[in-house]
Amino acid sequence: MKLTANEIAILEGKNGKAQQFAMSLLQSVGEASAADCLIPISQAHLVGSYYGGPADIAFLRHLNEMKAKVRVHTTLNACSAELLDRGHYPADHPEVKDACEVVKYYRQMGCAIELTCAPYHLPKIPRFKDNIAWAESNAVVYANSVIGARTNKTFQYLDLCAAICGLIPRAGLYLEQNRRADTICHANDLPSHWLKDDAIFQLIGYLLGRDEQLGIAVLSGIPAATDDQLRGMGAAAAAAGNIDMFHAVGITPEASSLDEALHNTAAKYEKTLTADMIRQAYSELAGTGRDDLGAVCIGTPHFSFAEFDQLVDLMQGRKIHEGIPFYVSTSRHVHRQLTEAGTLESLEACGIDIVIDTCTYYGLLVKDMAGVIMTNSVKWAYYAPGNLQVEAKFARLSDCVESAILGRVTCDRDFWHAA
Amino acid sequence: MRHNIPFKRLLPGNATGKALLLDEPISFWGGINPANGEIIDVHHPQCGQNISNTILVLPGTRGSTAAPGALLEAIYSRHGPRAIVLPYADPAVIIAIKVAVEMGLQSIPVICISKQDFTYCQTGRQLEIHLSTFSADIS
Repeated sequence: MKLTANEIAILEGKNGKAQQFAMSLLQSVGEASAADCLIPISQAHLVGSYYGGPADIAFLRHLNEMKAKVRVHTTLNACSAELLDRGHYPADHPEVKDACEVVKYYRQMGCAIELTCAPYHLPKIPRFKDNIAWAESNAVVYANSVIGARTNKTFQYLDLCAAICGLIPRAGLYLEQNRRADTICHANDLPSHWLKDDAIFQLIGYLLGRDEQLGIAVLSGIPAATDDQLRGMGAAAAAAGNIDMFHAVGITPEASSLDEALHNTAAKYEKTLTADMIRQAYSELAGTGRDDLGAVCIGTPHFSFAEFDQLVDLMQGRKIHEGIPFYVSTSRHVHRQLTEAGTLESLEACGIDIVIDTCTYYGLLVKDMAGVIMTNSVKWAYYAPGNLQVEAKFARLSDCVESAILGRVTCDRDFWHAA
Repeated sequence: MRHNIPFKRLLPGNATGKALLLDEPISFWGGINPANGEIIDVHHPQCGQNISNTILVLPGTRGSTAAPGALLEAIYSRHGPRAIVLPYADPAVIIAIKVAVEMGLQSIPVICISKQDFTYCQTGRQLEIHLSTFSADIS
């Protein structure tokens, strides 16, 4: 990998020890990934903002002692506890103290304390073709696929070193030729009423992630999709597999046609999604069929402003059943938007409990809960049982809402069975 | 009898120890317990084995971008491997060890060998990385 004279000077210590180390790490990773040079990034989103252990704390302290500062706009992923004292997490709990210490070090380095896995909801979103260094998997898929910004799934500490230098090795998805779709995924045969519901996009994403032959796939036959639906698809694909990007013909910015997505080459592999595949995926994620409801956890990734509007509509002013926690994880930014729009009060009056800064699949809120936990997120249903020793059930948002109001699991079975 | 295996060096250092050859890539985050080095991923064929003090022969890494942090924690708690042998230059491994060295922890040598030569690195065999030689005791 070729370095500029200035980069070599930084490597030799011109800008202090923190940049020297960061540049040395960028160089090693660049060599390992066969990058030809370093390129500037316009922003970074870091994954390490949760408590990872004593080594992580010691390293962040060490960087602060070297006076490390980020050189580009840098945001942080959701952390392992809610840092604002809102009654969810006891302030003296070790998990909260550890999370606060981690975030303190990132703040001292100049990071913006937004703590969200949905940086694309924040005001300074990247633009088409911007080079950025994002680390959270769902955000990486969203940036590449929906915005058309460029990022690899940036590893922890590489993300921080990239922010400290404002640079990243040019390899992988920063290169135009690597953004080509390898494979086609046909969705033409799916019932049209399914394609109006958010849940189908997550199930498609789950199937994309599970098929290791797919790589970067171009989806064909989807008439339209909202940004929330596309990000649900990406989040599910990244949770269930190793997907960093997809295209959708006529929808995503690098796929105005099938040929554009394929860079005018032939697809290596084609797959047709059938209604049975979707039903099978749904049944894999729908739990054991128990109906004792413990809680509802939605907002993985962090709920958007538009999704909150949808939730208000589904509630129709009704109340969540007593004793059933209904948690929605979101960012401080969206929470502020809800406050300004006056939506917050009506949500809280229905018994909806908004969790900020963190995700319900991390921590204390539903760990070891006895009843079934319903979620509209494939990612939550995929990770939480292992993290939290609970039974998860993936369902449509409307089923989550109706179950929470009734106080036990209820689903509109006709939806998935009607052709 | 010692068999010399051609290799490319990715990070400096010498090490000797017993091989732990993994049959599948590992996710360091969620796949090992950094407090004791045990493989805890129930889907991994070597679940229950321990990476501490081994020469870890690794077909690759997968999973979360937090992998470097998890490997760093294992090294910090003295439950990391003595050396890592890979078939390609894996960024997650390189990042974890660069950070460990920056923190003043012991440097762990990392080398790259051809996948075919993994057969010389069966679990339990004595391996040695010394300067420009990588050898396996195949007697």
